[in-house]
Amino acid sequence: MPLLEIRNLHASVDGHEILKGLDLTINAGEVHSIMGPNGSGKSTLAQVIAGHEAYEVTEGEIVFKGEDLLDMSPDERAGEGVFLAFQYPVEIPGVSTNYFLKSAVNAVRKHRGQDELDAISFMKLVKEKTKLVQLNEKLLSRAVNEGFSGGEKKRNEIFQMAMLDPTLGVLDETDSGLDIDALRIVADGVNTLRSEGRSFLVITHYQRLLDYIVPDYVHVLVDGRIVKSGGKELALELEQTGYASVQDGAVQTVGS
Amino acid sequence: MSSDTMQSTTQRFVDLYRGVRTDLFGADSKESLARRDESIARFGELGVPDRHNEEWKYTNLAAIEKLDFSVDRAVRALDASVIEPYLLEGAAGPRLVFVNGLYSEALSDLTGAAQGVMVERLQSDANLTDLPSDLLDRCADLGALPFARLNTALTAGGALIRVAKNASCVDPIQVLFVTVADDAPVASFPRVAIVAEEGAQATVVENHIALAGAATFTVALTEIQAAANAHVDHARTTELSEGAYHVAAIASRQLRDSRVESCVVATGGEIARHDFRFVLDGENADCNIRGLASLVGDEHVDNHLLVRHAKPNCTSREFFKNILDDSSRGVFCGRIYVDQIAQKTDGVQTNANLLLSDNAQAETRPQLEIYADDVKCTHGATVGQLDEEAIFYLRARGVPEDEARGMLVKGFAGEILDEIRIESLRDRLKEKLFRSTSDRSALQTSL
Ligand SMILES: Nc1ncnc2c1ncn2[C@@H]1O[C@H](COP(=O)(O)OP(=O)(O)O)[C@@H](O)[C@H]1O
Ligand SMILES: [Mg+2]
Repeated sequence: MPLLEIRNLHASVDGHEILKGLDLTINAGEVHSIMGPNGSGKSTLAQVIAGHEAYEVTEGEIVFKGEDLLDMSPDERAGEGVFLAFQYPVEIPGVSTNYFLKSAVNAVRKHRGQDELDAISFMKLVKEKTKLVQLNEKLLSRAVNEGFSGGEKKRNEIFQMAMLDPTLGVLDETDSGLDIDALRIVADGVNTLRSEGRSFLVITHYQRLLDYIVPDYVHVLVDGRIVKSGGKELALELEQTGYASVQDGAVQTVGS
Repeated sequence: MSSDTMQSTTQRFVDLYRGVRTDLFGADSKESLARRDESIARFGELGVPDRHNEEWKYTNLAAIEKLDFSVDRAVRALDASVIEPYLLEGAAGPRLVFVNGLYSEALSDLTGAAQGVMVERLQSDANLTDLPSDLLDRCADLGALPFARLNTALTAGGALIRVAKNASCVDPIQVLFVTVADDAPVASFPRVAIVAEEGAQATVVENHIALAGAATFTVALTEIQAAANAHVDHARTTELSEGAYHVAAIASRQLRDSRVESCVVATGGEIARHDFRFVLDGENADCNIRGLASLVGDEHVDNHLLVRHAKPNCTSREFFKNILDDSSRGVFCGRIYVDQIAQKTDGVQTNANLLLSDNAQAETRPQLEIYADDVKCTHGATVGQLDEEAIFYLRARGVPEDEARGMLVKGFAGEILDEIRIESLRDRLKEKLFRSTSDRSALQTSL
């Protein structure tokens, strides 16, 4: 059984159809990348997977671990193992990362039938996972993302992903706004988290990130549809020829 | 509202005064009586404000017209367990407890005052003229507040806290006013005066608790006087129940290099109105006023603020926030007034409102009135709802929706509450506001 199966997904915002029949299958342990021009619907796909209510699914289905994902609330999805690293992490005045993340971690642990963490084990886990992305622990007692640099925000996303131990990590342009050193740190963090039991959907506009997080499959999203799929070499090809060349290209499907 | 209605209400308070005049403390002093007589006369002229009064445009006191208030003549017995939840944990400082405005010997504890700290209750052998009497006159606008006048006429008790030159009270002094009415409406007129002499440091917590029962009407007055280099840390809560009306004035006068911090938290009841009159009357004085209200049902809070910079180089900060659910209403009307000589004034005033329901309403009017030409003053107001993107962010991390909303509300309130230095008070208020948030959510889901 695939981990994630998206079939004929149509989604709209404010009556505008953005995803126009998208198919995607991800098996356990695979890393898929979605590339595509600005406005092609990459973030829309990410938000629909995470359960944002502003996006209306008008047709199609998403099956996650054999269950109807669209039927679950965003927090249930997180409990089931879906994690979205936001393209634009939200700033939340008055709420610290440490504070909300303790509730988040314990909510997903409860959902998964695991014991809740006490304050001490939580802080131990925080110490361990902040190291993964070289995130300054002091930032975690400040309001979520408030006054964080672009790089700190993205590292905070990957740190939270590590804390929540998902089975599917969706990274929405995690590379944008990162300099090359920060990009390496974030990519190393993600690579450490790669495992047989964990899959990733890496959304990016540029091929650069894929030098560091090497995907098993690359899909090209144009105007709400996947127009081309291939191996990691497709990313390089796109880098040279641009998206225009694939817009009318034959649709191939990859994956099991 | 016709002014006729308010005239008869005004007259009822004047009559109430006539009935108790000679039984009030200080009645054996000519000066005290003269002061009370003069105050009631002025109150009679000013009258209970109706809605044609610009200052009372959004707060309608018509409901008190239907209530026939009396005042307690003897202090009611109250079980210690009633006030227990409100007591500051582990505080070694003195505690004064009043029931319907009358001092309760049984519930108070005057021991534990630090060296140089005088904590007295206003009582029969005290004089009204012992209070920092020039304050009312100095703050001309306070004299114009009808209810401040009514308090002076009718007050039957309160606390006088005096910290001597260079003395300091680190342990907070707690003054607790409980109002309770069994079947007939009761009015009370509590009074607090805080006098910090030169270089003194005072920490005072003032709680106004209205217990559930028949209607209560509290007309309160707090006066703060900070001499040169003095530091006053003042926290005040207005914690009301259904049927409770609360009208308070909080006045402060500061001399050079002094600092006054005041945090005023309100929740519950029918109407809570706070009039702040702060005067920075010495160079380099600094005041910081914070306010928070958390309301449900058709509760109503109105904060009116006048901060006057009367001398150069003073700093003032006024941060007020309202959390408004159901059909509650939050009113804010604030003004920084800068005298012509008050150059280099630094003033910031903000009011932020969080509406948790479509029926909740916020009225906000921050204002500046500046007569000096070299000042730095800003003001701002916001009215908004919970950030749905923030809620989604938290939910996408696994936090259930109710909890996510609660966190955001708590975060909004935290920016005010976190500034309260007294831990047990801060924790209690957080718990109270947070609990009412989850109660609200529970209520909504059960509908
Ligand atoms: N909330 C929204 N309201 C209206 N249009 C939207 C909204 N979100 C996205 N869109 C539109 O949907 C299209 C796809 O957006 P998005 O999924 O963010 O693309 P990408 O992430 O690939 O750049 C764009 O044309 C964008 O303008
Ligand atoms: Mg995007």
